[in-house]
Amino acid sequence: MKKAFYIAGLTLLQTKKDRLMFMLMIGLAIFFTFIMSMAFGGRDDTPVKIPVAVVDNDRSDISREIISRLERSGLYEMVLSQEEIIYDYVRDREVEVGFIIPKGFGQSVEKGQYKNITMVRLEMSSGAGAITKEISRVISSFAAARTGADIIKDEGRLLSVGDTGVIERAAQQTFDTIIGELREPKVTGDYRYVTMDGQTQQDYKPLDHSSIGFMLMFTMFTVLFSAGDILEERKTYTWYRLMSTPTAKGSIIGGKLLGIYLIGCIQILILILAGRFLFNVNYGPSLAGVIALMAVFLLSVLGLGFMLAALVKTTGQLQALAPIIIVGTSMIGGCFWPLEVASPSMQSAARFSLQGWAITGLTQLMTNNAGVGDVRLNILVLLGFSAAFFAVTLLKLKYEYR
Amino acid sequence: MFLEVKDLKKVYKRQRAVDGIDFSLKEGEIFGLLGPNGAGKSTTISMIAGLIKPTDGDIIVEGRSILKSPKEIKRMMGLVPQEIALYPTLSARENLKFWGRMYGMDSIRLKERIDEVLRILGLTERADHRIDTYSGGMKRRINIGAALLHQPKLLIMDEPTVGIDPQSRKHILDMVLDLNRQGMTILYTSHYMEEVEYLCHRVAIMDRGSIIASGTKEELKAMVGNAHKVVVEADNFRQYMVDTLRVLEGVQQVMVEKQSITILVKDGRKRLADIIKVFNDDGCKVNSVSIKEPDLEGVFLHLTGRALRN
Repeated sequence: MKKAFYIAGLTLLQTKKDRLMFMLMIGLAIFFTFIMSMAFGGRDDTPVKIPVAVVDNDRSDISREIISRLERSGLYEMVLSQEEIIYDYVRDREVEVGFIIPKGFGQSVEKGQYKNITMVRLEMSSGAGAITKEISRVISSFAAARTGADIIKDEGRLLSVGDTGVIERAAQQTFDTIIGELREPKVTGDYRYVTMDGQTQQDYKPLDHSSIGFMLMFTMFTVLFSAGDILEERKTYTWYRLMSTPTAKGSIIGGKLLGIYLIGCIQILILILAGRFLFNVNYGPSLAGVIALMAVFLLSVLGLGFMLAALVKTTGQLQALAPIIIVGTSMIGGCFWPLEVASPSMQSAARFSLQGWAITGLTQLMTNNAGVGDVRLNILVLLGFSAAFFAVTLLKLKYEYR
Repeated sequence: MFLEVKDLKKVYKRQRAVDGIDFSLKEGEIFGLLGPNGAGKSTTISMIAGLIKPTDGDIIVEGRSILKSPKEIKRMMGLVPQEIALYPTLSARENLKFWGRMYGMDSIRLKERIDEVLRILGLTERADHRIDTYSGGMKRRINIGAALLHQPKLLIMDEPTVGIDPQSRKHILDMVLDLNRQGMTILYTSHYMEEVEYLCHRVAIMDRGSIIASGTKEELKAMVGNAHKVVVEADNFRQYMVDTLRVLEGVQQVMVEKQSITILVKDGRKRLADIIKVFNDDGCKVNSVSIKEPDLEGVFLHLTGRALRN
């Protein structure tokens, strides 16, 4: 048993001495997460503004209010345009979407007879829907304000107020107040989503997903390549020398496993801390859940690494095979994008990926306030994978040394 | 007997790597296993070191079978593999420390022994340098040192001088003699006849998985009588000339390797003129001729008709 710890210590010492690969795997995971954070607009949640062209043929209060409201939303960068060039703007992708407010639009809204607004967009663009909704909201506000003002006027007449100027001022004030109240939302959102089973969800951002996806993928690289050290040991004959010492085969294999497992643990710990402090990733309230899930994930990856090392003949073969397996299963398992956006067949395929089970478990822990018990299926499946991989490895080794 | 190898066999699928060999080592002697590459020496040593299981037969060390008590026997052995079995990114000291641990040595004794072994190897000053910065000869020395830490009773050395410079080789050979003087029993394999002659008290010659001769150097050399090894370097040698040489009086074996023709012949000095005449009559240009006293190479040639280094 003591010798197993010495062998594990040797593996750690070798990694420390030859740390380029280890550092690279950590660095690459952080680098790619950083790249994704740039793609998602950074962690300050400042959205990238969508350029929108508008042609205002109406120049009414309501048309100006629509443009102003879209600008104030912070989501759109409004570009005033002309009817002759707006199509070219959209076609040339200078703006995401354009719309034309027809002449008389304000008057028709006043009368409750809405005129169509012409939306100009590319076929695959999805921005027009949100703008249409925003315009509808402005019109509703106007309608509400107008209704309020009309009520004041009617009431004034019914009360036979002699000074019509007073009634007009009161009506205008009501109109402005309602519009003003509707202009700026008073409540900001701290979103909690409700899932089917009634649990509340934390906000889960794309960057969180990238961070854990790359963590799992690059840890697999380290563990699988480290497992290949056994092949390297055979090449350098240290394996045979080890076998010639009075050390039990179980201690040798156990020590190797333990060493590589600890290297994987160190990498995951560093990447979790990097995710937390560099990218503000929230791993949820269950530390025990994250530890348990990562512990079995590492075990299964270690099993896979040992199985591959036992099945292939050379380090070169392992180095060729491992990236294909890791990147392929990472794609299937949802390391690059959330599984929810994948097709049903892809989601089914994810069940055969270690990363798939790890990532769904982590997502659960990060968004649903879940604990170890909630991810027990994920833990059990990963344990099952580990058992299967180690069984195949032992069978192969038994056959080899027969 | 300190070590007894009894009817040892190893069969891989259809190939007989070791075909029922017997030999024994007395305590405190250097025993040589001599044979060309592929003779079965390394397989034999791997079985003695407990790395591979024999197909049949047994190995007894101090009355205990390796099949029944492998751990106890491994504890009293030190193996120097043919290849450099060290961790190249670690220093010599770190390597020695690790291998000492694998023999169950405690920290205090291990530290003392590491310093002692480094001194014996002449590598104290380079002890903290990475192995991959060492020369071939220095790596070979550390490769041996890793097997000496626990002061084994039996040291098994599998071609420990392959591919090194003459100076390092001399250092290693002298070290082996020193260890033996201190009482260590050594099983030494090599295909370098001179090394075996220089070091070993007794020798077994292996070829194609079998021991074809064994005994002291003198006993083995007596097998070829007063035969000499005549080596002729010549241009334009033709294969049919082998038959002409073979029928000469006293010629026992003729072996051709490129432009070098080795003839094992009784009373070589007396027959030299006849041999040269064969070359001259057939229009061969003789570049050099040498006559060597009987040696183990000659014994192997006599027994197999082949050179030891083929």
